[in-house]
Amino acid sequence: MINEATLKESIRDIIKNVIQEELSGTGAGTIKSQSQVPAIEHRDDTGFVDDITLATMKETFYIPDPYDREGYMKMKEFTSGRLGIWRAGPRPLTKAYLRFLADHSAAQNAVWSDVDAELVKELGFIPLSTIAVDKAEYIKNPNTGKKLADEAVETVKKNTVKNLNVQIVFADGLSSRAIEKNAADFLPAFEQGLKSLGLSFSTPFFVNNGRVAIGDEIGEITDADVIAVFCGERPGLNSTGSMGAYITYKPTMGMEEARRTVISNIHDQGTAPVEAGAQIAELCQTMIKHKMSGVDLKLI
Amino acid sequence: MKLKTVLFGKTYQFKNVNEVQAKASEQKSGDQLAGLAATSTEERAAAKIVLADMLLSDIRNNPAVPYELDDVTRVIQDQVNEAVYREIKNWTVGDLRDFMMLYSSTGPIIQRIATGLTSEMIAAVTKIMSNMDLIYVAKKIDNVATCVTTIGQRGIAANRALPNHQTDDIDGIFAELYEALAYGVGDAMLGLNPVQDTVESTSFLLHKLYDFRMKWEIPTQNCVLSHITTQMAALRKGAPLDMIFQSIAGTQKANESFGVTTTMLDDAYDLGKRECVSGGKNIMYFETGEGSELSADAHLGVDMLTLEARTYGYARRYDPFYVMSVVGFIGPEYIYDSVQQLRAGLEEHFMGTLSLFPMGVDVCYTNHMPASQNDSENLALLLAHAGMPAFVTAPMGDDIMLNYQLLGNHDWQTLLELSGLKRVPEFEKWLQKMEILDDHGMFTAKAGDASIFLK
Repeated sequence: MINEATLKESIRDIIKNVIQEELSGTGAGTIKSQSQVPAIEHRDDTGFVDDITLATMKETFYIPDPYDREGYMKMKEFTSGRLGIWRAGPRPLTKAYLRFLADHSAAQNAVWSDVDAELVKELGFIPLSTIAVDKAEYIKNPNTGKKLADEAVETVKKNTVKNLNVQIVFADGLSSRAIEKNAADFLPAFEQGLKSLGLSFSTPFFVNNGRVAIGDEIGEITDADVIAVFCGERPGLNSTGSMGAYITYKPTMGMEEARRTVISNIHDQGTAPVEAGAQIAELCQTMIKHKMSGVDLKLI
Repeated sequence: MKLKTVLFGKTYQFKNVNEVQAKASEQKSGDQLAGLAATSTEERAAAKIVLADMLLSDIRNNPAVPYELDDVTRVIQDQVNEAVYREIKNWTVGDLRDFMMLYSSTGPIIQRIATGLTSEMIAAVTKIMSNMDLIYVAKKIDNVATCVTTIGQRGIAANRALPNHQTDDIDGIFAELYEALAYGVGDAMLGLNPVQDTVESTSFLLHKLYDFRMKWEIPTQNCVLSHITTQMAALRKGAPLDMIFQSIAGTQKANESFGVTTTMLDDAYDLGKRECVSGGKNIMYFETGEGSELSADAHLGVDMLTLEARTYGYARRYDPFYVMSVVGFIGPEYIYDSVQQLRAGLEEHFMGTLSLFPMGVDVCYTNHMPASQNDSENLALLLAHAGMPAFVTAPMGDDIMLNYQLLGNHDWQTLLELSGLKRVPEFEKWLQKMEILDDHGMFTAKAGDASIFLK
């Protein structure tokens, strides 16, 4: 007689086999020897479910029995695309699906959250706001991120240092995470670079719900030689915290975009923040020397 | 022409056809940004009521941008079949909608009527149709076109492989291509958006793609989506192009901002007919997107949907292989969220279909849009239901170069199974030869393993 426990166990075994055959691509019905079934992943006893965000896309590979494993891994070195992630029936595996969800949630959060107010305080930034009433309006109508709120105009006026070489501005842009991840490393390197070149600078402003062009209004008020705006870039699934630098000599509101010099992709996987700091300090010096920026500067 | 109505005791008066069109449009952030949108749902309803009562001749005689000022308008007006137009010019927009719904109005009958329509009429009728209306009419119509292979037949849906790479690295591009093919993706085209827009790079990539297509005998067509002038130069130097691509928009001014004129497109079309290695009768491919005119400051006070319809009217001049709108790519300032994305996708497929070429939609969103993969899957299911002939997918829906999300390669087989649509027949046969699909068009155990191309 089969008791209930034995019956349950054998049903569990059958289901497990079916699922594993499906995952290993052998199709329904065929019986596979145990050795060809992918090993059940190691479960530790730390009380944590594994951190699925640790592996890079290049390391992530789920095909149980590929035609050419070595060749596949080599192929994956050339792209950060989600390759070799296998399937259950026609659908992505649970782990590939969850990784996508995690990456997308980080990308969305980078856009829709504000930079931590504590961090702004810690870094000693002077906070400013734009006329955007909230994130939704800021996203829907980019122009609201290019105009300072009335009280912010007063704050800029109050904190303006006359005859300044470089006015530093941070803005969340499309990724608050970019500022949170990079500002603390970047700023000391940048300031050190400016100091060693003998260029004057003052306390950075931080603009919440601010786009690149917010620097133009700040430039008109402060009349600093160079306005250096560091702004969060639109996140991708593989990079949520990338910062862009938009450096302009004497910007004016409504000017052509071609007058900005852009250095994008500042983050730990791109141009390292510390490196970018020194590089951009030199760029500021060049702009002040030639009294120009952007495409004009390239033509020299 | 009547430009006012009363709704629940309140009068709604509109200035002109353009204002009626703009305010009759479904809510989209781009029209709000341009200051053209209805300010209340009641005003929107009133505008739809006025629009539905307008004669087709009223719309013909009041193009969105004057004939003298804009060559998109001239192309659209000049290609109208006047005999068909004379039959229908006294119909109202509402009459046109009802006509298309009739059981007796089959696909070929609607296609004939469509030759008498201007793009503004197509936009107008779209605005008084519900989502299911749009799907119902679009599904009746088959627009068939041939490059190397043929798409658009009843029951057939094709899909583009999108092997984009941040640095145009040829090994990375091919890794992405192998992956797509291993999932049965690529019969619409193997279509690469390059980073570098040079003749050398475009020629190099075209040669590589062509050699690959020849070596593996893949029944599909290739495209490298650099600027049209770059492709023309590559073609003149002997690069193997199957078709010629360009992004286009709904006003002359917006096209000029893309560096494109009608003369240039005419030249490209002539050149392509003589030199494209595909030998197909349809050798042009266009991409479009609502909001591109506004972002180029060239919308001229016209709403996004009307401009999008005009873009399709303009595309029709060149009998394209197909046209693809990148619905959620232009950004949330134009198409804000998943609600607007879904509506826009259905509208675009319908309007393109009524413009008489195979119409595809890149079902997609950017990360600063309140939308998710679920929303794209919903829209994809609806578009498959509408019989959309051309889709596009990437590995897990992640375009690593353009940084946006579209449908995933996995979604393609799933969508075909759910909708009952089939791949382009010769491509399906090829996949069976490669042992990626079985005799019933289902995945074999090898499907999803791109390393089979490393032989």
